[in-house]
Amino acid sequence: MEDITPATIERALGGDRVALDGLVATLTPAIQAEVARALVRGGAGRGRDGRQEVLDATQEIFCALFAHEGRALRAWDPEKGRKLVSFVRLIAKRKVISMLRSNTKNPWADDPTEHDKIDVIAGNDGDALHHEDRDALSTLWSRLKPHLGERGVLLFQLLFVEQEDVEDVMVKTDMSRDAIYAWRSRLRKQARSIGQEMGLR
Amino acid sequence: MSEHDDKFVEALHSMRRADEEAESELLRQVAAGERTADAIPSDAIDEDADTQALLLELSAPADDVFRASLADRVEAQLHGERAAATQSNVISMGAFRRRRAGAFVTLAVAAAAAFVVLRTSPPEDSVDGGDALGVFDAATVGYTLTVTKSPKSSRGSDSQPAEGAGSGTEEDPLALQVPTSGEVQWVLRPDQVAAAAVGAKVFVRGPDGGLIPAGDEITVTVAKTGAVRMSLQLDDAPYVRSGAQIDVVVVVGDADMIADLGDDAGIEVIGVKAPGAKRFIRFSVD
Repeated sequence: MEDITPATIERALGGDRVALDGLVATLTPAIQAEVARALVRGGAGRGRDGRQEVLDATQEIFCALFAHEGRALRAWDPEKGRKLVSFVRLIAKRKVISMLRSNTKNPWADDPTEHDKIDVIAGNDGDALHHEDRDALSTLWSRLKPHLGERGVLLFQLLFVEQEDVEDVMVKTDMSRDAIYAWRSRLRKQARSIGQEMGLR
Repeated sequence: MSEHDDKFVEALHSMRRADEEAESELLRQVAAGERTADAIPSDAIDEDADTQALLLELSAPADDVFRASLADRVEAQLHGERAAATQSNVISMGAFRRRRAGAFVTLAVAAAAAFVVLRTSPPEDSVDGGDALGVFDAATVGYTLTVTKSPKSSRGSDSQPAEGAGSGTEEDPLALQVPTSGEVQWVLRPDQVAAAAVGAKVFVRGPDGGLIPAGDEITVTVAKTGAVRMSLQLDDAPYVRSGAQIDVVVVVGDADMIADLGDDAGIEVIGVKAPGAKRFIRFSVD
């Protein structure tokens, strides 16, 4: 993957076609993947036009990034710790969800390039657990917990809350590596399954 | 919820974020051609095989033509914004801005701009290729117009309210009647690129739902990659008002044919696909 810098973006915005082509090559797959995920997870994307819908939405989101003389792209600051692809991925995700909610492909229907939203994405706050998410995840946890049992809760705490290495967990639980991997996979699947039941994206 | 449980909720959030990132990254690699779909483990993305297959299918790499069109389109968009910033009489169709009584009023136009396919009579002729449609194909046309937003509001004569519009206020925008202009651009599909001679005619959907010819000073340019750029001046009409929802139907076809559209019964508009529409809609304009 080409190493894109803010200077590359400025060159592309200034009319440098080579720089622009580089941005297209780097960002298009990330946008496309995010669009595909959002469409499928949102229950769309099936049917004969699914591929075309993905490409159309990819195109619109790509253009939205460059709107207002690239305001959204210019908001990316590598000093804040997020890579460009990750930054664009978040914008694309919000954008396509917004498009799905508004039931339109019109990328201007709900402009994702508003400054406040971009600022959130540009900074670490883009990863933060917001109030509405916390409520949903609290519900998810309350539903998941009864399924785990004592050992499951312990392993969840060690693996995901404390984020301990598998080797340490092996010592603390007197379990084999394979058993811990199996538990880890099972815990993920259970959480994902309940999340899907709840309609969490 | 206890503080203890709070940590589990935070962990769930981190887990889901990590899952999303991992899934997105796998799909990105597929879309970038860095990894083939069959190299993805069967349950790496989703336990449901059908869902995973669909995700991988939709993430298949876009071809070079698509990417080139993307770059061309963005280039045209940037060019359009720069031009709009310097040309005082061009404003966006995405957000018409009005200067009235010293204040700007944003007219959010859901410019359901559309692509219309033309053909000549007899109507039973095939729509696909070959005939007057040239390379236009009714089954595939319908690229969404990119409605550009100008960073500048309209100025000069365009920004002045039309005569007789004086009864309107920002609180009562229905009476606003101002001439507007706009610029739209879009990209033809690769198989349409050869139709470089393109004319355009603009209709707006009037209050009764019918299509009314609108627009003046329409210019269209088509780049070899298919990027189409069009600027126009919308007529002063009572339904062009603040907050109005206007369907702008753009008729695209051979430049010679389109000049007589609306006057020449030999040309029939056979369909339109609006940006948000799922299906190609057939209709006629007398």
